[in-house]
Amino acid sequence: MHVLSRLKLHCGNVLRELLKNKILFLMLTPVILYFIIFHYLVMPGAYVAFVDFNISKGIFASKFVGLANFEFLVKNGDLWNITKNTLLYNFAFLALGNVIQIVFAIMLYEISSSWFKKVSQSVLLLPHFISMVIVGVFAYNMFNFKTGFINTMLVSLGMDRYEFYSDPGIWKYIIVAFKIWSATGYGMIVYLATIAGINNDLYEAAYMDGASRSQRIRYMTLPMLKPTFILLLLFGLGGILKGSFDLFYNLIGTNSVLYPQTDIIDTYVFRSLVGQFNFSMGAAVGFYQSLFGLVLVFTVNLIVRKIEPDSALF
Amino acid sequence: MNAKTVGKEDAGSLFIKAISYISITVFALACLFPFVLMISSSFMREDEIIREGYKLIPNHFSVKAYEMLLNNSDALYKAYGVTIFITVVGTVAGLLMMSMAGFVLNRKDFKYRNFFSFLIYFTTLFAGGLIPSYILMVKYLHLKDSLFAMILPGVVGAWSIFLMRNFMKAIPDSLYESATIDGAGDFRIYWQIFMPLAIPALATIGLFSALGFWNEWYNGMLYIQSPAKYPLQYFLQRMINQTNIQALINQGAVINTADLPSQSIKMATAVLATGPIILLYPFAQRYFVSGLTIGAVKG
Amino acid sequence: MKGKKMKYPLILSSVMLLGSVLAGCSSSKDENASSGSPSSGSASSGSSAAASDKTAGGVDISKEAKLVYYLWGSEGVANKDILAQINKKLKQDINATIEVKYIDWPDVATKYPLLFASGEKFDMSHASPGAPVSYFSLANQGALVDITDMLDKVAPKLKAEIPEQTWAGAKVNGKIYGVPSLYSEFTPTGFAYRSDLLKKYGMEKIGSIADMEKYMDNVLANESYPPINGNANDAFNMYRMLVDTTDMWINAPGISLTELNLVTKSPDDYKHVFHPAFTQEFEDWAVKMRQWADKGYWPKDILSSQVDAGTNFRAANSAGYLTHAQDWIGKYGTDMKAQPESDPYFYTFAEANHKIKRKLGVENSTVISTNSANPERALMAIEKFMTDPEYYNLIQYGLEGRQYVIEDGVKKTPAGFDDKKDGGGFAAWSLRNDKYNLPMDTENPIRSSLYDEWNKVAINDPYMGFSFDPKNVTTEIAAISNVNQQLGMQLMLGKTSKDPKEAVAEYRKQLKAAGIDKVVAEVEKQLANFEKIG
Repeated sequence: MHVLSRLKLHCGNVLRELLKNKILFLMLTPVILYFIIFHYLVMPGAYVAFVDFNISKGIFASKFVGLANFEFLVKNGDLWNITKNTLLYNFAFLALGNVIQIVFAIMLYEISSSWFKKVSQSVLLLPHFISMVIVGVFAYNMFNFKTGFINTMLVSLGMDRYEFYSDPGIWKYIIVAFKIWSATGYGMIVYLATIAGINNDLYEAAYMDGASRSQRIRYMTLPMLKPTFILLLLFGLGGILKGSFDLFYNLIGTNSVLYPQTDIIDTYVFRSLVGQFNFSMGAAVGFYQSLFGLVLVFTVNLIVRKIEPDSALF
Repeated sequence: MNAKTVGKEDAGSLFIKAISYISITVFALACLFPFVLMISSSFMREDEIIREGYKLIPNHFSVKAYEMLLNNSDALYKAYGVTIFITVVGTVAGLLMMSMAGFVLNRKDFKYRNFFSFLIYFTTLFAGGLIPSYILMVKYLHLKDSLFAMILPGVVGAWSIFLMRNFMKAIPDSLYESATIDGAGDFRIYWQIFMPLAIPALATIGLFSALGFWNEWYNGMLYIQSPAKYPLQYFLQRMINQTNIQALINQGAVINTADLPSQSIKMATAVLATGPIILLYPFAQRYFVSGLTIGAVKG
Repeated sequence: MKGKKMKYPLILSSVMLLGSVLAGCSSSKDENASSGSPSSGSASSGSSAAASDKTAGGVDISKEAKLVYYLWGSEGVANKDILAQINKKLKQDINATIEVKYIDWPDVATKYPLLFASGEKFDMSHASPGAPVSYFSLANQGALVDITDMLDKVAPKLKAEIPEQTWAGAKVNGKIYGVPSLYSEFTPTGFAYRSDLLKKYGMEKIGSIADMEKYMDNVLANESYPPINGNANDAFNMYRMLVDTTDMWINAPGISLTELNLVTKSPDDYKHVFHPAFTQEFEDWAVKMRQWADKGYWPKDILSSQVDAGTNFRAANSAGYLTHAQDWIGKYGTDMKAQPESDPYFYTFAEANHKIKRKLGVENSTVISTNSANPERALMAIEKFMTDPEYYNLIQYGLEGRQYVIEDGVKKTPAGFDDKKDGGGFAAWSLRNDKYNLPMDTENPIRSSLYDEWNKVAINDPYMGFSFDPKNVTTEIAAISNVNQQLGMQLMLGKTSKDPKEAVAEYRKQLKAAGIDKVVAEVEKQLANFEKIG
C-alpha cells in the first residue's frame, strides 16, 4: 500500500516533470533514442555467449549451454593467447606512449623558437588525422616483399630481401612503432597544455634562484606532470582490453602466419563473426572482454578516487 | 630578463636544448616520411616499381597513375561522393543532436539530468558486442547496404556530448535567466543564444566527428555490398589488396593489363584519399588543439 | 576481406543466372521454432497448404511477391535490363518479381555465412556442401525451407525433371532442402599450365608430380615469373593435391571441404575416416611443400597476397594455377584472350589413381531461406529457370542478340557487343540444366570429349546422400577451423616458422586440443547407420 502510493507519487513526479520540461525532453530524445537503439538494445544480445547459436532460432531461442563456450576457449588456449597479446600491446602503447609524449612535451616546451614550436607541433599531430587504412598503405609501401621501400633499399645495398610478412616477431615492433607514430602528437599536446598551465611565475622565480634548465625540469615540470600522467595511465588501464582493431586489421589483415603474436581480442571476435568459426565462441570472447573491461574501469576508478578524488569518473 | 636568462644557460641547458631540437626534428621527419614516400611512389613508372621497388627519389617521373584514375574512375568519384555525403550528413546531424543533449544535460532545472548522463555514460563501460550489433543492424534495422549503416552507428559519441555539456557550463546562467524573463522558450534559448556562443565547441566536436566519418571504412566493410556505395577508405583498402584494379576502376573498359600502372595507382589513390585532409589540416588543427585543451585531462 | 575462396570461379564469369522465386503464402516463420532438429523446416509446407486454398495450381498467386535472390559476383552494367525482361515474364506467369543482390567474389567467404546467421530477410540463394557454410549445416540448423512436399504441389515439373537419384543426394534426414542443378561437370583439382612453355622445355605432358616439378623447375630457370602465383587459398589446393594423389584417399564429411578436411582410406572403407595430419604421407608432404616454397615455386609473400592465382596467370605473372577442371575449361577463352599463345592444359591430380568423382547435383543447389515470406513463389521461379528454355537463356546467357547469339548451336558473343554497355549476366550456375545448356565459344572445346572419357572411369562419391549433422561438435569444428586457417595453411605452403617436421607435430597437437578425435568419432557414429547408395 505504502509502496504503491509512493510509486504513484513517483510516477506523478515524472509526469509533472515531463510536462513542465517537455521541450527539453524532446530535445534530448534523439540522443537517448540513439543510445537505446544502438547500445542498450544490443546489450541483451551478449547472451549469445552462453548459447549454442542456431541460425534459425536466433540468439534467444538457441540452446543455453552455460559456460561451455568459455570452457572451450580456455581449453584450446586461444583465450590465453589473445588476452596476453592484448594486454602486452596495450601496455606497451600506454607506458611507452605516455613516456614518449611527456618527453616530447617537455622538449617542445624548452624550445624558445616559436616558429619551430608551431611547425613541429603541426607536423607531429598530422598522423593523428590519418585513417588506419592509409597506415596500412604505408606499411605496404614500406614492407611488401617485392616492391617495398625497405626491400628496395636492402637490395640496393647488396643485401637480401627481408620477408616482413612471414615474420610475426617483427610486427610487434612495427605495430608499436605505428601506434606511437600516430599517437605522439596528440598526447604531447595534452601534456604541453598541462605544462603551460604550470604557473609561469613559478618558473620565473626558479630562474631568479638560478635553477638550471635540467633542475627545473627535474624538480618542477616532472612532478607537476605526475598527476596527469598517473590519471591518463589509469584511465588507459581501464581500457586495456580494448584493442586498436583498426590498426591491427589494416596492418595484419588475414595473414595467419602473423597471428601468434598479433592476434588480439578484437581481431579474434571479428574473425569469428565473418570467418568460418562460430558466433557463440566469438561472442564469448567479446563478452569476456566487456565484462573484464568493466571490472577494470571500476577498479581503476576506485584507485583514482583514493589518490585524486576530484578526477574520479564517478 | 632575457639577458639574464641567457647568462644562466649552463652547458647542461644547452645540451638539453640541442637534444630537444634534434629529437623533435627527427621525429617530425619520421612523421612526414610515409607521406613523402607515398607521394613519390605514386609518381613512379610502373616498370621501375616492378623492377626495383618503391623509391623515395624515382628515376623517372610519371603522372600516368593519376591520369588513369581521373579519366576512368567512376568508382573513385562515387566513393568520394559517398564519403562526402556521410561526412556532411553525419556531422551535421551529430552536432545538432549532441548540442541539444549537451544543452539539456547542463540545465540545472532539468531534474533527470544525472540519470540521463549516466545512461549515456554507461554505454562507454559495457557493450553488447560486435555480433549482436551486427544482427541488430541487419535483421531488425534493415541497414545492410544502406548509406545510413555508415552514418548511424557513429553519429553521436558519449564523450563529445559531455564535452559539449562542459562547454555549455561555461556560459553564464545569467544569460539564460534574462532570456527566460523575456519569455523565450527553451528551444529558442538554445538556438538563438547558446548555439552562437558555442561555436568554438561546435567547431571542435564537428571536426572530430567529420574526421571520423571521412576515415570511415569499418562499417562499410561490414554492411555495404554494392561497390557504388563503398566509402573512400574502404574503396582504397580493397584496391590495395587487389591487383585487378581494372575491375575496380573502370568496370569493363578494356585496357592492356601490362600497361596498367597497378602499383603506382594504389599510392595515387591513397594520395587522393588523404589530400583533402592535408589541405584542410592547417585550418582544422587550430580547433582541434583548442578542443583538446577544453576536454583535456578529464578524458 | 581477405582470404576468400573462389570455389566456383569457373563458370561464373561466363555464365549467369539468377534465381528466383516465388511463392505464395507464407508464414514460414512460426515453424522454425522447432528447428535445430533435422525435420525443422518442414512445417512450412503445412502452413502454406492452409493459405493456398484460394487459387489455381493449388497456389495462391493473387498477391504479388517480391523475391530477393542472392548471387555471387558483382552486378554487370546490363544486368538490370536482363532482369527487367525476366521480371516481365515472371510477373505474368507467377505474379512475382525478383531483386538480385550480390555478394562480390572477394567477400563470399565472409558475407555468405553471415547472410544466413544474421537473420537477414531474403528468399533464395546458392548452396553447396563445399560452400563457406555447408548446405548440410544450413539444413540442419533450420536455415532452409523444407521443400519435399512443396515440390509436388507447386513445382511438379521440376520434381519430375530431376532424377530420383539426384534428389536423393540433396536429402538431409529424408527431407529435401535445395534444388540440385542438372549440369554434368567434373571438378577434380589440378594444375593448369601453359602448353607453349611445356613444348619449349621439350616436355610432352604433365601426368605426375614429378613432371610438374620438372615443369616448374624449368619455369624458374627460364622465365621471369614464378610457376605459381596465388594467395593463401592455394594452401587448400596443395592439400587437395596431397589427398588426390595419395592411394585411394577420398574426401570425407565432417570438417569443411574448404579446409584441411577428413578423408577415408578408400571408397570401400567409407565408414572409417581419419585426418591425414596423423599420417607419414602428410609429414612428407609438408616437407615437400617447404622445399617447393624454398625453391621459389610460389612467391614468398603468398600468405599476404590477395590476388588469386588465375588473375596473376592471365596478367602474365605466373606459368600456371591450381584450380579445378571445370574452371580451367570455363576460363579457357579468357585465358586465351589474355595470352593467345598459352593454350592452357590441365594436370588432373586424381586421374592417375582413377578416383575422379562424379559431381553431385547437390554441390550446386538453389535453396530457399526460412526467412522468405514467399517460399512457394520462390520454388516456382526456380522451376521456371530450370525447365523453361526462355527463362533459362535469360538467366544464363542474357538477352539474345545483345549478350549472346547462337550460331551452329554454339553460344557466341554478338558482333556489336560493347562490354561497357552490354556486359553482365548472372552467376546462376546452380540453375543449370544439361538439356538447355549451350556449348560456349569461351569454353575449352575439349570439354565434351574429356568429360565423356571421365564419365567412363569416374567413381561415385561414397558419401552421396549422407549429411553430417555437426550439432554435437560445433565448438570443436570451429576450433579446428581456427587451427587449419593458421598452422594448417602455413604447412601446405611451406611457410611455418619452425622446421616442417616440428610444425607437423605442433599441428597434430593443436588438432588434438581442438577436439579432432571427438569430431572423427561423431562422424563415424553417424556413418554407422548410413549405407552407400548404389
